[in-house]
Amino acid sequence: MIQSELIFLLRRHRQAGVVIDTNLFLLLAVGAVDCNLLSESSKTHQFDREDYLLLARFCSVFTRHVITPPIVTEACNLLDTLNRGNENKIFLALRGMLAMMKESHRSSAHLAGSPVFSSLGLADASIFALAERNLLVVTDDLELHGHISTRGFGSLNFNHLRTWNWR
Amino acid sequence: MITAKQAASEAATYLADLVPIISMPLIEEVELSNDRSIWRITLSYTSQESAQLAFLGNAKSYKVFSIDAENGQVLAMKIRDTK
Repeated sequence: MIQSELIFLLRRHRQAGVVIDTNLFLLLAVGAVDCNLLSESSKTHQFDREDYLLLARFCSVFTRHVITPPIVTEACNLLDTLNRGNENKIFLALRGMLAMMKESHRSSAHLAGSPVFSSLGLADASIFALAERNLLVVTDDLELHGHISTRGFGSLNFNHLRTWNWR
Repeated sequence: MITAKQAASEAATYLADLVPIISMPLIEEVELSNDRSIWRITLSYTSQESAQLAFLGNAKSYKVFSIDAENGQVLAMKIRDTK
């Protein structure tokens, strides 16, 4: 099932690009520094090196990687303690990643009008707005995945990809 | 400590023993508690019973399992409300 789902999503969204949700953005940022650090934060300890490599490999299929200010803000807040304990290496890695990504701007007032804002918040509303513009969303959040996929937009549950990778 | 993959496998085995499922369960969510003592694994699946009623809507069911992160024992299984 996952293979056909993957092929469908890649064909449909490869040109438009990909956006990853905050949890997975944390995985990329920490994994880029040192995968051993993943187990040191409660925000990333559910992931391991295999997950980082899988996500990085998947993202490399796309030439356009899009991020939003609410995702970056949330990521910085969640990684603050880990960054301080590791000579600011995490935020320095983030800086490098952001230089290679395209940033999408929408006002908070605009995003607050999103159908997902009231239940999922600003960062997920910014992700939903990109899904509406035909970008593929990669997430490990079942609720966000459900909101996007039931409306016919592109969403890949990263846990489906992990399951496929584990086999 | 067991891995996420092992915890998901324990949950899937437990589910298969309890429910006559007609499709491979999908892993939907994986979460490790802050104190690292419990893996929470959400599985989706289609049971024979729900497939027969699929014309009424989504045939998928969701269950969330709490797995002891030390020994892999299933501690709890609950309905995951996705609405």
